[in-house]
Amino acid sequence: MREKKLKETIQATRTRSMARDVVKRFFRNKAAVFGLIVILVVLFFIIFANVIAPKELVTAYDVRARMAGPSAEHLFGTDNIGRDTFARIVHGTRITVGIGVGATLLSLVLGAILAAVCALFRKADMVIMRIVDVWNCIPAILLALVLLAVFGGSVGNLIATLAIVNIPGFTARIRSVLLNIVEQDYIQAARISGTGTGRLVLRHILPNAVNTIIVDATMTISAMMLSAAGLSFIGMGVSPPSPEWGAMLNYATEYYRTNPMLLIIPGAAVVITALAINLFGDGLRDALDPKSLK
Amino acid sequence: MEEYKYEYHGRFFLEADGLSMHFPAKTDAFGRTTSWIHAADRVSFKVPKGKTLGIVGESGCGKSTVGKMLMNIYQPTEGRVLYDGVDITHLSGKQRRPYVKKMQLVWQDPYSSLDPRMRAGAIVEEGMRNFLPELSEQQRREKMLQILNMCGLYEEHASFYPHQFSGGQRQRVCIARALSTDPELIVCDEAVSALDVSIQAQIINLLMDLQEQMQLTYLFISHDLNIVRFISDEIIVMYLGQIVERGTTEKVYLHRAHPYTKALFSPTPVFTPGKKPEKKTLLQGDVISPVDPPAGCRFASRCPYAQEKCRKEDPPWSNLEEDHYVKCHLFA
Amino acid sequence: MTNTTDNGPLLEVRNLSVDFRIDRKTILHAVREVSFTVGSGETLGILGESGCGKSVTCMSILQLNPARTTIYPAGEILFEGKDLLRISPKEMQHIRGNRVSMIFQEPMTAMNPLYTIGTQLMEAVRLHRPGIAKAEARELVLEAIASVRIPNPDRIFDTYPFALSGGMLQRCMIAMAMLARPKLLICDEPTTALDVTIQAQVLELMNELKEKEKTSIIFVTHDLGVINEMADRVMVMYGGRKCEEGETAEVFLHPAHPYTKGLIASHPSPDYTGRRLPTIPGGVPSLKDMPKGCPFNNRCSLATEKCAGTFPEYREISEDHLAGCFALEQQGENHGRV
Repeated sequence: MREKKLKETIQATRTRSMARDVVKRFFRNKAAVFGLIVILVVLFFIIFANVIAPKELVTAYDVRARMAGPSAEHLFGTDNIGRDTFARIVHGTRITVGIGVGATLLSLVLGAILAAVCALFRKADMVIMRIVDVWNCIPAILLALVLLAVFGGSVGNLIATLAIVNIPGFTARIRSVLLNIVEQDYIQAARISGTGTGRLVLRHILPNAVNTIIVDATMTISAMMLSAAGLSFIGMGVSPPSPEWGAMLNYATEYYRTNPMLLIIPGAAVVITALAINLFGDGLRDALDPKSLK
Repeated sequence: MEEYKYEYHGRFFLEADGLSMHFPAKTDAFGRTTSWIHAADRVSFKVPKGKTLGIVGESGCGKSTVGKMLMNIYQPTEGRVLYDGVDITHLSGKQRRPYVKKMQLVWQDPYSSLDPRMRAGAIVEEGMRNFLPELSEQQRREKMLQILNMCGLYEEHASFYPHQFSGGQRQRVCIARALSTDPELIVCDEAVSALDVSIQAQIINLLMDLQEQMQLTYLFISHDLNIVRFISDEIIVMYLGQIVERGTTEKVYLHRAHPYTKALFSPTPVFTPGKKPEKKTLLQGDVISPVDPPAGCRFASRCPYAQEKCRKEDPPWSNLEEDHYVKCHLFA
Repeated sequence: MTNTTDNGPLLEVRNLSVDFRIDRKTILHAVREVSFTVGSGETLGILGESGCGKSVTCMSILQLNPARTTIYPAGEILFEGKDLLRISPKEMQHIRGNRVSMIFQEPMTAMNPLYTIGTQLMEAVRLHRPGIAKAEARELVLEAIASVRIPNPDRIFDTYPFALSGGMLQRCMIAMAMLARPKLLICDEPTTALDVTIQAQVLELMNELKEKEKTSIIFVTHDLGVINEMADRVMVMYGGRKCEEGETAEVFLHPAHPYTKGLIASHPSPDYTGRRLPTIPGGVPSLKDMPKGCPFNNRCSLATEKCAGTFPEYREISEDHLAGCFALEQQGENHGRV
């Protein structure tokens, strides 16, 4: 009788493939699914921007339709020189989200590599952490301004600048996570089982750090989007005609009394996208954790 | 330093020769170390093949440090580790590899010693992947299932994550992992201390069964005398980084000589059903700090029999009877 | 049935059940229909493995289980005639630390690392004797520290917890618990985290204080040896149920419940010389998977169909010795005493 019972419990808890577990756990989280949907919409905008709204509409102005409210022709209305807000938002997605994601990924990859070197090699740790300390002492905004002033405010330069400003933070945070993991017995156990450093990092250390890194990265993406907007505002980022959301937002502050739509639309775009990315990140973290399997 | 003479009637297998481990405790302004933590001092022992050596002592006595020096997790400050007669203390990574394969470790905490993101099967297969590359994937899987079975787990357990196991089952997975590279020596560092009593007995029995089947040699590190006595052929008692008494299990257990061994054995609320335990030797105070320990006997500050001599001179080893040695002035 | 004094037992727990609500659908039964009494000046040992409900039972007495998730579906906890499950939080606050104190397993985390030992003990005094003069409180604290046999109470008074060893801290915890001269002291595995020689010192000290202060003690542990040394009476728990209860010597000499028997057997006595340690097969199931009926039925060699249905009535094996097992019925009145 006991044997049978044991078999039954084993059947009940039998695990499926890792990927299916993750997907199943992810879709149980409603907020994360909302995040995913918004991200899909954003991706759709990025890929099919030209199909949704012809590129000419971004700069084409129609003085007769200045400051128009929402209509069939102009879904989100027009701005003070009659440009279609909807088209600008759709095309701005590429720039704003591109800068946020690009800068985050670049700094994340470089920061993670530095952090891994720190966590594994004590001597390199000393050197890298001192450099990071100095790096952190230079005010981020000043560093960004100098770099942009020297190299000019293109999208590529903006990404590079924001990434450079972010690397020390990522390095320090990921390093502390990794150091914690490296001290666990199971890392030592893997070493004793003959696992080499490369495999140790890929199979044991990174999967256990991924939780924290995902949340950190998603929060950084939204912060980067806002920083890009800020830099555009003071004229150091993307130059005016391009429909960067932050630039649009700053531009709209002049007209917020007469035409609040101009302010609300890009603001909402930034907020919703940032929120969606954060929710998605939280959901992904939970889904990747085998302990949340019920 | 020849500290004792100890005759074995068998082939030596693992030998620790005067192992010391000193960690820097304080450094001066120029980065020079001014005081040292003496985690282990001149620890020597020999373990024949297929036998179990028990190392007993309280926390901070250096018993885990000794295990880690054998496994090369710590590089000893002094002394050598001989494996089947070969000095393996200062080997490079590549030269060491064949010995790493033969020596495995089982940790105290079955929660932190398993990667929470790997299934039990993958955990057990990892060592084979690294050390037995001649096995095909199919063979590896078969061997993994066979080992799980030997450790009292079912095939289904291979696909479980560590958190899905109970504490005892986790420790079985840890033992299975240790067995995966066909080791000859397993260091068990407090391997059953974190488990419930009825589960402890199961794991000890499992370890003893495996020893019989595979001719394993164990170094069994624990603070629990009742368990050490049960599984060990010989016992070493350590206090503050030094060995204070050694001998075959029976002799150390029945004729315990060193005042510390006596105190260590008696206060365990030894269980005799229905009988109030007899009055026991109570030690005063705590273990002293291992930072720059004083000359003389390190136990002197807590020893009820301590004399002037004990505080000044390091006690010599005395031979009490065959295979039973003690480091104490009382017997000199 | 129990060692009652003239005024009845100090603590009487009747039919206590404790549930934890995990989410909307899941309710875990941590403790089921447990009854026991503690007479004044008596030490009751609660013995069991992890997850048997021994700690939850103790926490229920002081209402220290997480309030949001804990449900008490049935039972009474009568302390000096008052039902602790039904008094106001304010009254409870008064009982906690004043009439009933508790000592925890981890002395390292039970003290606030930011304040000196003296400050924390003084606070305990002032909490229960508001308006006491500072000098008098200090006097009391120093006395308490000295009473747990710590040399140089003055020095310890101004020491921070990190500077003390586990054994010293646990003594300070005992001093703190005894400051209010409680009627009942609950000790949840107080020596498990300590080294053997230190454990012996602390147990000795507790026995001494008990003699002196006539405090009743509930001593929770998984260590049979400690129970044997400390407890007058013992209650064995498994899977949230009481399996057996009685005078310590009687229960350990003539265990009646198969679980108690297995537990005692798997603890090798000094003269045991068998090749293998006796064990209980299987492991303790998690609360979620606890079998119906008698929780031990999936590990028990005597289990029958009946055991999976309901939990048996408790039978009196001898005077003041109860056990709940169907096997006892079938084998007649006196089977427990083989």
